[in-house]
Amino acid sequence: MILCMDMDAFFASVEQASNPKLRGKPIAVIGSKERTVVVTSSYEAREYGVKTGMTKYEALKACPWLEVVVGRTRKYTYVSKEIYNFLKTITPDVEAYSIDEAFLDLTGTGYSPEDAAYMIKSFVKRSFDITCSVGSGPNKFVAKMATGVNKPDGFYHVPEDDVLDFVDGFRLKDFWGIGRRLSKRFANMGIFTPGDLRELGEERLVEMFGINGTRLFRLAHGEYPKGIDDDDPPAKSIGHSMTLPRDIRSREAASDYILQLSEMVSSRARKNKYSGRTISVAVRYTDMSTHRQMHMIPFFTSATHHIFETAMEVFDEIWNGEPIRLLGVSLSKLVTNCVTLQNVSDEGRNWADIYDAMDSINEKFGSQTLSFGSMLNCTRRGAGVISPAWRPEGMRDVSYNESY
Amino acid sequence: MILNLNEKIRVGAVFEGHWPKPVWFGLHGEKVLIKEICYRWKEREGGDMRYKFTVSDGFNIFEILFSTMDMCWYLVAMDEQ
Repeated sequence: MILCMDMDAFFASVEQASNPKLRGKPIAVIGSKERTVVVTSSYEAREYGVKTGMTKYEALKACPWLEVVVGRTRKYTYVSKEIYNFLKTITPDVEAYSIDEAFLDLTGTGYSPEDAAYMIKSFVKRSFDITCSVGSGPNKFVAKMATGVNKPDGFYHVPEDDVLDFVDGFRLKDFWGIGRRLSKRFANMGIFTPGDLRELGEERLVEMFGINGTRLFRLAHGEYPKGIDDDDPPAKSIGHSMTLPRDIRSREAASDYILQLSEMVSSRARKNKYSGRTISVAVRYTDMSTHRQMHMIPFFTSATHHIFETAMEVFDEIWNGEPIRLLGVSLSKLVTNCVTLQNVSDEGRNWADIYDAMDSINEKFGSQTLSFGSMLNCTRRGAGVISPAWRPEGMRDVSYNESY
Repeated sequence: MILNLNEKIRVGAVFEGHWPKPVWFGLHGEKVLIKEICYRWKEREGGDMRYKFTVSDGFNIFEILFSTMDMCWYLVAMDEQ
């Protein structure tokens, strides 16, 4: 039996629990920068239509008496880790899906879903004065869907025999694993429910979607092939993006931020012993159009200067001279524990030693304690609130789809 | 309104278990009695483990921290009524 635990409006709930003045009020958690977006809103704010991804001004327009709170990353990661540690006492098979969501495999633990849900919910409430919703079912998909049934502070259990009836209660657009584009494509074909999908048949779905067709057909039956993934899967890419404090119009200013982003990407790669050979850059203009491009280099690297130099080449190719609102840099085609000769010595410098020294100082005294001089003009890293996709353990698999 | 202060303060605290429990602190010559510890969490700033608290005297909300690096207490911010 699989259990899914999902925190209710996590960041907002922590803020409300921390500050009695915010309790019962519509609040929105944002990053610390002026041009940031709503990361989480409280249930009171959601009633006014305040949604994740809205700008601060859109949110205040929807609810003028909204309390806007700057997110406190370390507080949330601490709470998340404590909850994760508690889940590990119930079963060793815990998959930390995101900062506020986890799957547990109860097989062999002796706990019923009801018992486990009660233990989790009371721990979360007692320790942090916040609530979570729990769903359980024979697989991850059903457990995840069940979590949303009695949200917030709910519990819903789906016995094996009721799975088909349970999934038939949802529209395809509300299915976990069926995105907006796919559900739109189905809608254009007149397919709205899992029953419609089953009627279409596996063969036709495979014709349309290849191997994914089988997955979709199984999903329509409430079946899910993957179990708990308690080993953190290897990262496919490491990326950072930032909405700039103000629109920038010069290559020089962009170069400062690209260096900062390159350093953030490469230090994370080095910390987790990753090297990569594809460097991507994303540029978002003030009209919100986003352009991305990548370059593959002939060797694997985790060196800031390699990532930065390549990122600047990519930037020069895609920038059309318009004012820039957001920049992103990412490293992909990753390998682990790769010794890259190019890191060791080029231009007569021993870069490996330089990065080792930088990393150990930053590890001891805090990030960006030692950095590049040209980054003095940039805003300090850590100013923004973390993405809910952050995982309490190991690397986060970051792609542009998640970050933007 | 939130005031960011970051000033060193005197705190009366009970040390038991893993967490210190602040009971009162001095603010501008006044003794502020802590009526409620609203929240507590840990943060690591390089080698410094900091125990952070949001506390209330019944009127205002304060954020205080205990730094294990210099073994001192700090008033990080206060949210005035």
